[in-house]
Amino acid sequence: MKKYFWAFKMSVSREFTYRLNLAMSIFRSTTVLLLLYFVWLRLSEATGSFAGYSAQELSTYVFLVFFIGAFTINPASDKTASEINEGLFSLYLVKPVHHFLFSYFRGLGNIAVRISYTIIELITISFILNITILTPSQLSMWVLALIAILLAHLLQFLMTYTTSLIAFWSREANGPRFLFDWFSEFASGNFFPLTIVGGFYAVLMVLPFAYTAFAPIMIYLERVDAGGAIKIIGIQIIWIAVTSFIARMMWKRGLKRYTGEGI
Amino acid sequence: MKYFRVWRQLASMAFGTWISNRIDSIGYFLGKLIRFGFLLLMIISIFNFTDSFAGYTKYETLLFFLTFNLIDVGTQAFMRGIYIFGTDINKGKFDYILSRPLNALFHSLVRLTDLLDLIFLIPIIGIIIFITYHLSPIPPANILLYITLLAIGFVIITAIHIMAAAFSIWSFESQGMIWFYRDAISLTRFPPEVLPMPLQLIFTYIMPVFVMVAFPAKALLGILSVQSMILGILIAAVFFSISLVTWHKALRAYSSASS
Repeated sequence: MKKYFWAFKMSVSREFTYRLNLAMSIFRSTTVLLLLYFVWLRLSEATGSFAGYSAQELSTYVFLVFFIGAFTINPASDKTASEINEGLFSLYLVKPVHHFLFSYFRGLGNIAVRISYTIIELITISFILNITILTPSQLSMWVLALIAILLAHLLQFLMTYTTSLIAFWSREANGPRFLFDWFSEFASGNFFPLTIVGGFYAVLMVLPFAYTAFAPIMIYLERVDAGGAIKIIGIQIIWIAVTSFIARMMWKRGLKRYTGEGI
Repeated sequence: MKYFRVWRQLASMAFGTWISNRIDSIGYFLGKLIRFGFLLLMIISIFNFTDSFAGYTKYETLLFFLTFNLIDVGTQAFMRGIYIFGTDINKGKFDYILSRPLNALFHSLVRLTDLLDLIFLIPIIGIIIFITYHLSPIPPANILLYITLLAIGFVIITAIHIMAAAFSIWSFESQGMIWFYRDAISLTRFPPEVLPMPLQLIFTYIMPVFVMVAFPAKALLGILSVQSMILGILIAAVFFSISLVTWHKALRAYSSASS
């Protein structure tokens, strides 16, 4: 495990090497957070609610989306596709490391930095704007929400990693990755609660993306009961099993095709 | 004419790249379409629950969103080069650009034309015309003002791109600033009245993204004052002047590191 710890540590160091870019990232995420917060605030200020959500629920939703986003989106999984295309992937094949775990811990370093500044950012903004963040009223819902968030983290990583493995079959994996990232961004509920889109909501709930942000937040906001929360967790586990299977299949078949071209 | 020929040559080379990478191109195009479609869906869905958003109707709100897309996509279509400028600086490749008998700034900004964004401009303009029809009657003078203020917006955006390029020469870290601009302009997807007054002022005077997007949209709706129009022109002039001074200072500081 020590080698994976080093992958984590190097990733954290890299983040602090480009301090200006890091500072800009913080400004950037603050801008997006404020925009989404004020959009829902304006929509709910007249009546105190919007689309069945109270103003406080909407504020909490925006803040949780940012927290979960910082915890689930693993930027290092982007690198896998380019490593395969550029032949750098060969280095992992001769090293005593498992690429999946190495890639995961490398990304965990980015996540650790991002989650740290996101927490500070969220506390600061909620303090300045005097925003009340709701919390689950029951301990059981706290536990179920935390489990759902952890599973969302795993599911998101598996999905992005699997998409990156397309690079074994095509030198053009970045376009499909871009498409995946944007679809995932919206279909996971990062911009709006999925229930507002009417009939389209049922379609989005069939896909795995909703279970990486929207569904865990619904548990946290207690908009589902304990039974509903367990069902969500069950669906997350099924999607994790399905994506793990696909990733494993793609890895095995991809390795047979891999030529180390570009090294 | 010389610069147009250079741009045409660079653009045709970029087209060749996009066409030879068809899977990537389709992925990027569909990704942009998804982003656009989902936000459109969000705005339309919002109006299933309300008649007014920050004082604007559905078509008025959509006009702000589409004007943002017109400006954002239009800029990326022609000035995509800025996104690879930082890499040129870090790897010392900027030396090759400086040694060419061509304005280095012009080359750095327009070296990469995005075919996909050029294509994407067509449906955006089409929907703007559709919305303008639904907002009618709009006087022709307002349409002329809309186009004029869009042009002023493009001047400010060019200035911001020049400043980002200059900044990357100084700091070797260009991505942060250009992406900060991208996120700032994303605020203009919605009418400025969504934000509280202090933020409206910051994003009008310091990072004038509302001047680029909200001013043209308001001019089309006939709710932009003459003072605001003059302010827009002044801000564009000031930003453009500062950007050129910054660029020349940055060029003098260029160290040719890594070359």
